[in-house]
Amino acid sequence: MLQDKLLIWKLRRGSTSALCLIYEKYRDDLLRVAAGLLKERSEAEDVVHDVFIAFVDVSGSFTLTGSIRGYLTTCVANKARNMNRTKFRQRTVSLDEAEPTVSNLKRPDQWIICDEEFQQLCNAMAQLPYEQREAVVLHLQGAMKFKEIAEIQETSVKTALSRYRYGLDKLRSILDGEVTK
Amino acid sequence: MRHAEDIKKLIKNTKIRTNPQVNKAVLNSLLNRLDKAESVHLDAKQPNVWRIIMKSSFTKLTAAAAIIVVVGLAVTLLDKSNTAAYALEQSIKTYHSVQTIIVRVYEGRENIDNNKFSDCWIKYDDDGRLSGFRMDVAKSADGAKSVVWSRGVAKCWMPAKNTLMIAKGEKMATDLEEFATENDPKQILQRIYDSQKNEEITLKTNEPQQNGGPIVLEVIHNLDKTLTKLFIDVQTKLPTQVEKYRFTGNEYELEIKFEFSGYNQPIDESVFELGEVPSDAVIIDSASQLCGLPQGDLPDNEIAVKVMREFFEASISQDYERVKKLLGGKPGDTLEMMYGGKILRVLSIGQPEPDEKFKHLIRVQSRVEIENKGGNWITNIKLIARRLNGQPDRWIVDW
Repeated sequence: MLQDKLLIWKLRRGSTSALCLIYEKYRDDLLRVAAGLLKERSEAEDVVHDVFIAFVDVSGSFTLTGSIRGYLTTCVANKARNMNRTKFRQRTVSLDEAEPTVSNLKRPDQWIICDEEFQQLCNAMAQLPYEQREAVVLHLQGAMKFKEIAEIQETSVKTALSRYRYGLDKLRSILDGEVTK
Repeated sequence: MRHAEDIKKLIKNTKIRTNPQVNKAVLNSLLNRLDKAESVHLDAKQPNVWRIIMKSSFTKLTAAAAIIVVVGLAVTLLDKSNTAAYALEQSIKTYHSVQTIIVRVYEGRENIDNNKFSDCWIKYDDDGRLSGFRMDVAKSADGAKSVVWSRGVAKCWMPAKNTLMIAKGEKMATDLEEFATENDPKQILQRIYDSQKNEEITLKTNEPQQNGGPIVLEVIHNLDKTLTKLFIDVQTKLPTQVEKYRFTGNEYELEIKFEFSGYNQPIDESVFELGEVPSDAVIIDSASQLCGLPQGDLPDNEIAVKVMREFFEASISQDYERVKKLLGGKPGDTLEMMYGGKILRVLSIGQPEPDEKFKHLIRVQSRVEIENKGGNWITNIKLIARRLNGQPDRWIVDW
């Protein structure tokens, strides 16, 4: 936490090395969280890029109350949620029609390089209801507490915990190849 | 059947790999953004005001003046290298007789869209040397500001910061002269010919339609695809507008626009002077006092460390007059303002390194102990040692 505060203190003074350090330290974790929350890899990349851009934009007046990781993860979760809502309004598809979370299409400018295991995991995640997926991803990949997840989801801690458990159970079923209803 | 714990481990431990090239590209975009944000968030970093003043106003002044020179020369040379139908000799002759220019500059997409601009008045003497310059900037990191240069002295008044900065302008004049030499028509002509020969640029002349309008010259640099459009008045043969475009991969995006609203209009000398400033204004004056340390026989790296050491020593002993001189006229308590506390001691002064972008700046990282309300901190401070503008044999500390 002290190191985070020092990094923010430096960043507020325009330190490029502080920005580099924050970026290198949290980039992969944020991409992993975003990829877990969004169906399209390119969307996940966009969300993380946008979050970093916004972070830089407010860096001059930024006050850290928790950890940098927690702050950035919350930003990613909020952006991903907004993106999902927008997409939901635009188009609703059944699970069967849903595209895999991680597109196999390779682009020279792609940011996330997925191995098969990660791809399978993301595809399984994509089959969870969004709130459950969010609870699982934010807790296990974003290292967030259920209290923090509850705040993001605007619900009780108990509900966030339930969503996490249901999500985990369903994920286990999917990964084990069991038929779920 | 996997256990829940296995699933948790799988999710937790699955790693992600990223494309190093994209990582680098994104980081670069963030660093650029930070560079811009740095000038936006002045209120949060009040002490950096001085740095921005130093970096923006005079750099911009020189750059703006230099751009004007470029535009003028470019027109002349393009005329020579292109068999345009309009009266070439007349255009060159007209341009060479120009002694005053009034130009409006729109810089950056946002300012172009929002109609935010800077107005410049430029005057040359009979020998073609710069004799007066004024730039009124409506919007900048410092708020609105006016920059004037006359008789070798540059002044920058920033009402929003209630600050007047004064510097000897010989360095700036020298820069301009060097620039003019570098852009000597013969040399540029040769480069243009070479570029054409090597197919590095493409020139296109659009003659005016029957219903009038300007002649439009389009210069496309084949390497980076940047486009410059010059609009030439049919009657006067002088440029009325210059637009510079960046190629985004799909289309051209306007980056900067110059509107030439007047040539050879009389400009009163008072335009190149500032009016009265409030009596309580902060004045940073490096023109009327001997600032910094003399370089003597020391190489750049050694004088950089020496000036840094003396600066810290003076700061620790709170000798603000001395600090002020080592800061090139900036207030002596600036560093304390910047770090919100007092410097107690210097633990180490690191190896001097030239700035990656501006090689004439030498960055020196020092490890110091600072006392502020929250207690004592040990931190790294990376400051700059550089030659003082107008007094190049003397070195000061900057950031």
